Amino acid sequence: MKPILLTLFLLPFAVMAQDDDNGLKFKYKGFAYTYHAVRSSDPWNYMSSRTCARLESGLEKGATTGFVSLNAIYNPILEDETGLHLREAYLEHSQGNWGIKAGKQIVTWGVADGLQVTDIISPMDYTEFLAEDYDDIRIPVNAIRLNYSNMAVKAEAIWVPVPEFFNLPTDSVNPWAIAMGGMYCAMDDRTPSKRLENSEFGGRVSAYMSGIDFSLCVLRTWNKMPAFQLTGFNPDGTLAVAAHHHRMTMVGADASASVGKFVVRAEVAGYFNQQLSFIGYRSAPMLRNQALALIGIDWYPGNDWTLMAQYCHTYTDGGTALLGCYRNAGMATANISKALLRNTLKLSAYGRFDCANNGAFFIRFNADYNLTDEISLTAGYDWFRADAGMFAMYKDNSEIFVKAKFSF
Amino acid sequence: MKKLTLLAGAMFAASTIMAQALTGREIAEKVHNRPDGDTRYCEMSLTLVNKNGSKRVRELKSFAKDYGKDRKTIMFFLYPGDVKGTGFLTWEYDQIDRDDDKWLYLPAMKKTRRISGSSSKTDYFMGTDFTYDDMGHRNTDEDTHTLLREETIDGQACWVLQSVPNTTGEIYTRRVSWIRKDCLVPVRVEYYDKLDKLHRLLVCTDVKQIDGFWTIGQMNMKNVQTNHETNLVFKAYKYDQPVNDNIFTVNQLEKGL
Repeated sequence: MKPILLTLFLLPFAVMAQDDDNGLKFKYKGFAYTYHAVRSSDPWNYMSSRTCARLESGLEKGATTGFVSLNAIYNPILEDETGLHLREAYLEHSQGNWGIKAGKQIVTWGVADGLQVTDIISPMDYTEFLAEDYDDIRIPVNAIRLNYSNMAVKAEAIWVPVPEFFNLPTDSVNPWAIAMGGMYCAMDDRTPSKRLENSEFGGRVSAYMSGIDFSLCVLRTWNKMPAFQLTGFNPDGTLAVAAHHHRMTMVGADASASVGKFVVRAEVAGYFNQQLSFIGYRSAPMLRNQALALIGIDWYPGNDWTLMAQYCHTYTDGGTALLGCYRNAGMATANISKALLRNTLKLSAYGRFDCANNGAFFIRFNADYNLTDEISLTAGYDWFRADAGMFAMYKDNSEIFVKAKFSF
Repeated sequence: MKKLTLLAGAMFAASTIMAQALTGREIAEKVHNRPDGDTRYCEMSLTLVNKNGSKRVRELKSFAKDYGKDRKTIMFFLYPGDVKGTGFLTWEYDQIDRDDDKWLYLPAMKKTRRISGSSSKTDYFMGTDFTYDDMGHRNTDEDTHTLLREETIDGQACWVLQSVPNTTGEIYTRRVSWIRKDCLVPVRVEYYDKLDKLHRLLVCTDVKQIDGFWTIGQMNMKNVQTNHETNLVFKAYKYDQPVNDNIFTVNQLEKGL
């Protein structure tokens, strides 16, 4: 997007950037950051180089709000990423206990942190794996959400006419491109056609009470992460892979309870007719039922320490001999953080551990310093170690990164 | 007329005796129960000043509503930009052994998380010199109160009250408060550390009536050991505004105010 177009877009907002006497309110916030990462081993190349500006603006009149979120990105490594991207754009209206939110939006369900159990409506964008902020990894969906809420209960119905699916990079210039057996893939993405019968719909009921919250949810959806089928070998040395999606149903529940200095979180889900990759040339993916159960503990010991740990177990029903997954698989996460210097310096370490693959892991060490109220500087290290599992393709991607961010 | 004078004299004498007879706990209870409306709205500006004079600012707005002796509060950060939109919802219970319910909304994650209701009370609020406990509504019986003496500060007659926490784990071992007799507002509070050295000093100024309720306009909390201080200025105070109960819900926390 040319700068002049961006200026033209922002100009009306700048003119409106004040409260109107008629109750029209304009709210805005945003940031600009530059992020650069270098591989911490030979060939010491750039893993990511991204400069991004985000504007989030809301126009509010009475009980109606319009919200728009835009990213302007410059990415010299992944040139397709450079440009102006609309992230969210929705209208929200409430009347008494009822509310409706329609448009492009990020939907988050459940109490898990970074692991998806019931939180499967907004898929993930793995273009740069986890090298982006978590909210940038979530893909917004075009949805209509109708909700009813009172003091203790919130009930929500959601309809997504055109579901979104995981974004998996395949371009070999991208250090985060997915590879199978060390070979890059040319993906034949077989996402469902944009027909009404392929829409996604479901609902969630949540209760917030003294000491405990819990939710129940159901969703008629698709396997958003594709099931792969190796269909051939291309002359350019890449694998020809078909990415399949199939109808599935998710039924889930979550709970979160405060116990002294701890908060205990639990989330379970059943995936019915989840499509899974089948190992073998031209072998079509298979349908299986899966049960997922997550337990998490957050500890707030005081002195600005926070410790969080989660374990998520996945059980796959039926034969798994030639499936690209184990019958029992586990993923654990741990997060430890400490704020120092009156909350201006935050040190943290976040790790994901693939328990089914010899403890393969990804750990991010992070130091974030607020130079001023507006400017923060971040430096850190992403450490991968894996022989198998989802982290194996990234095993040489350990990197050092720096980031400078201006928030307004 | 003589009878009336005698009656007035007798009433004055009785009230003086009553005032003299007030115990520390009774004074603390009076302060705790000082009328402050059933609902409160205010905007706050917190300026953090370190010993070199450099400043950082946090701004937020909050709604609170009383439910008997319990209180619900919803609070949103307005500044700085990296925390703008972050919201806290607290259901604060007066009962001593009952943990509060707290939720934190993180706009970047589009997610609300329940946080511990008991642990953060002794932590400093967003790097300021105020703890979460200082920002809340402490039950009278969480401390043992003793009336030390009476003094006049800036022309205002005050009770000097010592309060010693009944539980361990507080960041101070005792606090001494100067309470204005006319409006039950603490105008100076000294917090002592475990070595009984003065740790923090709170000075409240710009005490005035808004909508008929005594209100503190400015609070300055200084850590005298590090020379770091926080100036808290209250703006746009409104009492007894009609506030829908649905404001104090997770749904509202996610929508913002």
